[in-house]
Amino acid sequence: MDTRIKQIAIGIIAVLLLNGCAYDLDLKGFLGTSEAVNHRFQSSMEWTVLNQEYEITVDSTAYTFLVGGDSHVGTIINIEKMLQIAVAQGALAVSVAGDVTTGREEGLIRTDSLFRKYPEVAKFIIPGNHDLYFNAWERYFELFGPSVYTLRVISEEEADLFVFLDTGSGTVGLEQFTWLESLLEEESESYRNIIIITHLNFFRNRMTGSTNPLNEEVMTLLDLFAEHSIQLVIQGHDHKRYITEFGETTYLTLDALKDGVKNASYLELRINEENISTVFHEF
Amino acid sequence: MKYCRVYILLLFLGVTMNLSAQYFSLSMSSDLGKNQLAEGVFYRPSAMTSYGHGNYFASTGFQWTFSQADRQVFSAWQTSFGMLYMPKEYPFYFSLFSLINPYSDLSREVNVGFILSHQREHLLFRIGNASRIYALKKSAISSRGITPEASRRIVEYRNFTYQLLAYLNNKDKSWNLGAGISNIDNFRVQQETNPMLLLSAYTRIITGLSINLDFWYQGAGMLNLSADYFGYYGRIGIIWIPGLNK
Repeated sequence: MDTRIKQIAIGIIAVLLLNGCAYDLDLKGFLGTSEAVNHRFQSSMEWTVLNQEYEITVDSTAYTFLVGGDSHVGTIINIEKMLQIAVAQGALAVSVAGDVTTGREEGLIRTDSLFRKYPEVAKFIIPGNHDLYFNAWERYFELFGPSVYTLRVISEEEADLFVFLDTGSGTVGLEQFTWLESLLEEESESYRNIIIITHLNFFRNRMTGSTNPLNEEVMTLLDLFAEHSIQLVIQGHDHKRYITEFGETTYLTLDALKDGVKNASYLELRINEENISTVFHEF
Repeated sequence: MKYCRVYILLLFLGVTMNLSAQYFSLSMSSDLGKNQLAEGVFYRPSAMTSYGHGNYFASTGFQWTFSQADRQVFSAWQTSFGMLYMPKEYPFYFSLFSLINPYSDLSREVNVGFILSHQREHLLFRIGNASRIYALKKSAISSRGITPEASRRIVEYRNFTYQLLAYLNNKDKSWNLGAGISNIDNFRVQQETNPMLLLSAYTRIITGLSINLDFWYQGAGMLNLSADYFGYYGRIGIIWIPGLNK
């Protein structure tokens, strides 16, 4: 019995050590992230007060918006292709729904340089769990700005609201949730479409180790989004596309943008007077 | 209110059935805690009854939630049926369960599944599977302007459930202290990737009457290696097994 316990202990230690050797994993994150979501939310709100909320004015009520998730830079082949396509198509903006980088300094710098290379397209990104590894939040914030914010797309006739939520450490947190609740309460009637973009996917549609928000939180958000008839919730994290509906709301999980992944793709959102249509494009 | 009446009826049936049952128990508990979904503390009282006859048993229980979150006060109804299998000195329990969580005016959550439990001198294991349904209530479709064509449910078929508790004392001692990990509680099934940490203690005051104290910590995102605090709750409860004090 003693021998068996020793073997199991050695096995567990070996797995932990091997994982520790995996360059892009930060095992201490199991115990806690360096900056909790409530702190990141506060920093984001302070940033917004100093820098103004995002707003884009468009001539037409029809436009396209490209969204990818989980680029894990690293390497930049797919994410750069998405940016090039956005420029070529005249897309309104590009978004990456979290896990933009691996949290490593070189990934953060490479992403920043890449974004600077394409100034003609607006980029809206949020952090995922990987972007917070290795105490990367402060650096992420310095380079890319807030993790929670809104984007208003305004034409003469209509306005759409994009809400970017930070679920990088497994929960929206009380302060962000309270903000979201009052935002939707006060403003949801004023927009043609409301689109939420966040990192963690809500549903367990397959066997996977990727972690969702806790069950009570999923229930609370489903309820809130159904109450305000949110049109679309775009999520990343699981690296495998999944589309489902609950009430008037479509929940869409993205494939990964990560280089070398077999099913790598991005999503093209086509928004017009009639509806929102979504098309996945594989690399 | 409707559910309170159902519960009183079940309780009455439970007491009368006790005349023929080999085993009957009543447990009542109160949870007090905090989480990231609302300001302030929440209070969740609950009550459960169990019956056993031969190697078969059944239980039902209800929970209410009082909090600042916009939730229904009646918050969960659990039922289970099962059987005991005792190949040697340590028992195995197999049970089928359902758990209904009438979350709000708009939506509810339903879990159905099975659990296999096994108890050793110092250990309690539980493993199983739960299928979860998130559903919009019929009444919401008309009253909230949701179109009848809208999708009304999402089903998650497979969710591994587990509990592992290690106790300080032998299970037959009159008091015990345990610690463990779990994604299931009496009225809650978390996703398999959201383990909760549990400290548990109980003491037998007299034969047939015990008090239990639990503390549950709910972390978020632990398996994403980017963990945050989600919430915690403490529980105090009593378990009464009438037949045992005679």
